[in-house]
Amino acid sequence: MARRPPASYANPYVAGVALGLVLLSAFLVMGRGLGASGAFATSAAGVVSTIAPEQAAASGLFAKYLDDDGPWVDWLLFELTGVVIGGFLSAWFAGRWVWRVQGGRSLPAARRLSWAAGGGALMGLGAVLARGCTSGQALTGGALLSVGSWVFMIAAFAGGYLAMPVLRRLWR
Amino acid sequence: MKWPQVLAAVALTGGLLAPFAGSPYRAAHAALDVSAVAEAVAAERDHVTAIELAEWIRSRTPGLRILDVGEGEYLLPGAEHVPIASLPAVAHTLRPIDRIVVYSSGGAHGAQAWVLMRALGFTDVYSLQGGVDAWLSEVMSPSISPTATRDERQAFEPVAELSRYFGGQPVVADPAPGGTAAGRLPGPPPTTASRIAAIRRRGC
Amino acid sequence: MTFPLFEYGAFGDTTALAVAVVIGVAFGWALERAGLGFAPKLAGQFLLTDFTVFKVLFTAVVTAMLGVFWLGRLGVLDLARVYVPETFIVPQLVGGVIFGIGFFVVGLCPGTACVAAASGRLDGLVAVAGMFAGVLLAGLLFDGLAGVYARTPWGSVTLAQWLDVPYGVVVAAVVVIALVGFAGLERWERRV
Repeated sequence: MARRPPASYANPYVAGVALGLVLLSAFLVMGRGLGASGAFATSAAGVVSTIAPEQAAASGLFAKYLDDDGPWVDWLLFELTGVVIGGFLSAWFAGRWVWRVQGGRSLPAARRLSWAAGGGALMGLGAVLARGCTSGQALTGGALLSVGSWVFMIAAFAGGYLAMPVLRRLWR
Repeated sequence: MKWPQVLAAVALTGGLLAPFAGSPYRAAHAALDVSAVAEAVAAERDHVTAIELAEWIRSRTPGLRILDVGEGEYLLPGAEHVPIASLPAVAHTLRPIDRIVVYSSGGAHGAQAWVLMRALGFTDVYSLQGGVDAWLSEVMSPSISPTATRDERQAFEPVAELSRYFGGQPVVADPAPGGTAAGRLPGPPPTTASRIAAIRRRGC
Repeated sequence: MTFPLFEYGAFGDTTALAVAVVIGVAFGWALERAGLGFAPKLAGQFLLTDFTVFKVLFTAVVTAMLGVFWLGRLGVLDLARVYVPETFIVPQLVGGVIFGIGFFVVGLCPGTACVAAASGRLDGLVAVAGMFAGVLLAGLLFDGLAGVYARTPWGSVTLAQWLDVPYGVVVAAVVVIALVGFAGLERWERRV
């Protein structure tokens, strides 16, 4: 599916400045920063409220997303949709779009997918507790010097480094 | 590796100058467009009369915020007490598109608060001319002279109705000497009997 | 003209949603260009083989932080009107560690998992599904989390306010720490 030899990645510092300018433009235009996990929460609230409205209203987490214009009219949800589009366009034009399972070289695909699901669930839980993820807390809150965001950032790096010696075989 | 070095130099400069630049928050360095403000004062766009404010409240003007920047002894309907010293800190909780009216008991602090709000970037802001005193004498107990003409009485009717909307009571009396009761809170609203007694005393 | 534009009434809620998509496209593009849609690269941060995550993240934080500080100081940006994410020390500490473990296992975070999925990576798609499931469960079993979730709410508070030092001092400290970190990593990477 890749159309041309994949382009090499951008210099991380240059890419970082570009990312920082995108974040800054969000501050300047909207008065708020970026995010990702919030879109998951609002979607979950929307799905639950469609299937079992009483459950959604009873949940302290989902209830917040059910007021105003409802869970589907959510700034972050629209922003994350943009992320999907932007990611796709960049990958496509860089020749990096390829349908595959991308894990550790010696990890069978099925294992990779199981770990991705489980690890994803952990991140979902962590993001709910922390009121955000790397985009909303580390990046946005970090740039705005929020105390809790820096705590999250340091804790997340710590968590990753603690897990590494235990699970490094996943990436062999 | 040229770009990263340039970026690092820019970042270092921007970072090391920061501690000497003061606060990044607006309230700490508010700038005033002196010409625009002077012009607004001259054109009397800086204040609103008590009657006008009463109309805004009654017609539920969207985004209307009323701030008592004085002692807060008498809060107008829907007003919040924001002592003038804490105004810069509170200002960022107000939306720039709101219509803001500031007032105090007499009007001096209200007018000063108006200048502060203009400096903080609010454009749709007014001070209440005459303050609480004006509200009480023009809205809560507006007066019509017993010798008023029929046209004057007709013009007074909407004012009387406005007053009653706010629980006020229009009075039939000549205004106190020297104009409205500036600096003096009026006594309890006159009863029907005393009003009739006043008319009898003065004749028709 | 004062920023943030939205706070100053430049446009309404519907346009804000269109703005969200545009900003999101730029965000997703930047992430993919940096290689952060490639899970082995992100895992490399914790395997100590690839420090792209640290470099991109902290360069972005420094860039936006300096932009916010100086545009605020110049009166262009009304900083008081920018929403600062609220601080909840204990849940953010606990949630952070849990998140970090998952982050190493998957090699992707919520945003980059979407980029990976959009790049055709099935594991990215599955990770997104897993995250959705995690959030869903957390929401359904929310009462069980309440003990941790609501602890230590400090409101919107910056490091400058907490440490009671001028904002600019924290800005300088973050810039110096980041640059020292970058320089250190460059030397470390060259010693191989």
